Parts: sequence; C-alpha cells; structure tokens
Amino acid sequence: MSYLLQSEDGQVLATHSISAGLDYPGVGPEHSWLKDTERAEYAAVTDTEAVAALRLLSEAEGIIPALESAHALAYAVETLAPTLAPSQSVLVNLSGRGDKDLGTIMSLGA
Amino acid sequence: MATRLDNAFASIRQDGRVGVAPYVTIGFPDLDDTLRVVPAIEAAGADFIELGVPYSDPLADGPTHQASSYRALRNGVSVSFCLDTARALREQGVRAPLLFMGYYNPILAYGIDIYARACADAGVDGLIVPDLPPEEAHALRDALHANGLQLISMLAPTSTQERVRAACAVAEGFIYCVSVAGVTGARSDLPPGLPGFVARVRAETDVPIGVGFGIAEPRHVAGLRGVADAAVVGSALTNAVGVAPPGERAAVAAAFVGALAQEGRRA
Repeated sequence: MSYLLQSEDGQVLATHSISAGLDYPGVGPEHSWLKDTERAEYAAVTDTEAVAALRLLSEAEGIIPALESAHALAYAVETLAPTLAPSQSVLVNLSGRGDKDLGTIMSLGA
Repeated sequence: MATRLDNAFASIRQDGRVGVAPYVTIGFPDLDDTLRVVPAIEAAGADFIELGVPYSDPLADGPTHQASSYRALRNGVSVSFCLDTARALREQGVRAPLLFMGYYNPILAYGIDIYARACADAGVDGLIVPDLPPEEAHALRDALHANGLQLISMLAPTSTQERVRAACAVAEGFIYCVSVAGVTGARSDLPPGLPGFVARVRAETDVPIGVGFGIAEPRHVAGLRGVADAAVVGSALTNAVGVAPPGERAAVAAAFVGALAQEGRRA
C-alpha cells in the first residue's frame, strides 16, 4: 500500500511543490513501508525553506543541490541541527544536482 | 444462481445477436442527465449498462472519458451520488443489468465491504475496475460475492495465454476484452488482430465475451458478429451526448444506441 493525497471520496488531490520531483500526490510503497514500520520519519519543509537551503549550500560549499535534496538539507539545518550537540554529525543525502533547477531558482529572483 | 447479467447474455445468445452495452459517465454532462439517458438507452435496446463512476486519475481512459469524468467531478459527483443515481434508476423501473465501471481508490477509501453492500442495496449488479490487477482482486471479489455482485475480468491483446487462462478461471458475468493495447476512445476501425485475440480467450472459456475500447459505429458491431457476444460502446456515445443540446441528450443517446442494437440484431 502507498500513501496518497486524496479527498474523503478517494479522489486524487492536486499538489504544489517548487520541486518537480516532489510535485506528486503519491508516495511509493517502499517509503510507505519504512514509515509504517517506523524505520524512517518524514517531515515537510516549505518552498521558501528549500530555496534558502539551496542557496546556503551553494554559497558555503559550491555545491548546488537539487531542489528535492534541498528540502532534506533545510530540515537538517533549521530543525534537526539545533537539537544536537556540536559533537554529533548529520549526514544529508544529496540525491540530485541543482543545475536542472537553475531556471526555477532564477525565475524566483532568489 | 443466474444473475441479471447472466440472464442478459443468455438472451443475447438465444437470439444469436451481438449485444450492446453502452457506457455512461454518471453526472455527465449535467448531474441529472444520467436519470434521463439510462432509461432512454435501455428502451432503445441496451442489453446492459455500464455506469462510469468518475475518477480523478482515470488511467484506462482516453481524452473523451477524461473530460467527461472531469466534468462530472466538477459537477460534484461523489461515490454516494453514484449509488443514489443507481438506486433512483431502479426506482424509475430500469431493469437492465447495471455495472459500475470505476477505479479502485474510491472503492478502497469507501471501504470494500461497505461499498459492496451499498452497491447491492442500490441495485448494481457488478463492477468493472480497470486498475485492479487480478492478483490484488481477491478481497473485493469476496466482498462482492458476499453481496451477490460480480467482478468483471478484463483482458487485453497483450495478455499472455497464461494470464488469459488465469482470468478465465475466475471469470463471471462476461469477460471484458479490451480491443487495443491502449485507452478508451472512438476509433475508425476495429484492430485486425481482434478476432485472433478473442479466439485465444474463447479457447479457454464459455463465459460470454464483451469487446470494448474503440467501438463507435454500427459497422464495428457488425464486425463482432461471430466473434464476441457483446459490444461495449463508450466514448462515441459520450461525444454524441456531450454535443447534444441539453433537452435532447436522452433522445440523441437513444438514437445512437438504437442504431447499434439494430445492427446487433441483424442476422
């Protein structure tokens, strides 16, 4: 089984995300299984937070993350890191590169 | 026990004709049109009727039924509206078998057992669920059987003989043979490989066979003579009803179905 953004009547709902790879109403069975078995937790961040994280990594490291990955980065930087001790490490998987997203970013004037 | 659908096919075979099964999107073009169109097409000779339960992601449907489903949803059609419509048709005296053709998620969201019971209460005879593969169909089939309904199996020209055999093993009512490896929509000609495909299915079962997807004209019905038991006609009818003036939709639908039924009766 998988998760779906849907109405009470089971109709698929329209989505919005600045990231094309996340602008989809369904979640695949593997992630759904990881969530149901509590082996992974899932969180949401906004378009604005993702774009800010993309800018941060681009400026600090010269690495342009994909907008999809920038969501994970935003969560790690803004939400998770403040709860950790300085000695603890956070690993963020950059699943894709942001070259493909430059058109989107530039159209924001960000 | 023979169901309404079994009886319809028995009568088709006894007459030696090609049956006609129109498809109507519930709540299209306007909410109350279904209550006028369905009795009209029954009177015009429809052997059984597929009532389309509109869905937001109709993956087996081409542009015509994508548009009719979208419009019906915009009109506010819900699952409970569809059930109410079926019930109202029975109260109006419609006796033809009524099948709900719709996708799985609304059924799942409604609850399989409650849905099956509600369909039975509303006078629905069976379901066609194009996006439910047979491997996943057991729970729904059991729930339907517990309420006296049938689940129609679908096969496509791309189905392997092994899959044809598996579908025939659980087939009931009729087997819905999809004429093309594609989506619903009116087409100009029947595919040349159709008789061979249907023969592959026929070799495995005596359950009646209905052919759909692309049936649009009387000559297509004629092309099914000696090949299949019934023709399912959807998009071409939807197009005709969609462009008819509001007061004439039932009459246009009846004339359309009547011409097909007449062809099906020709020896």
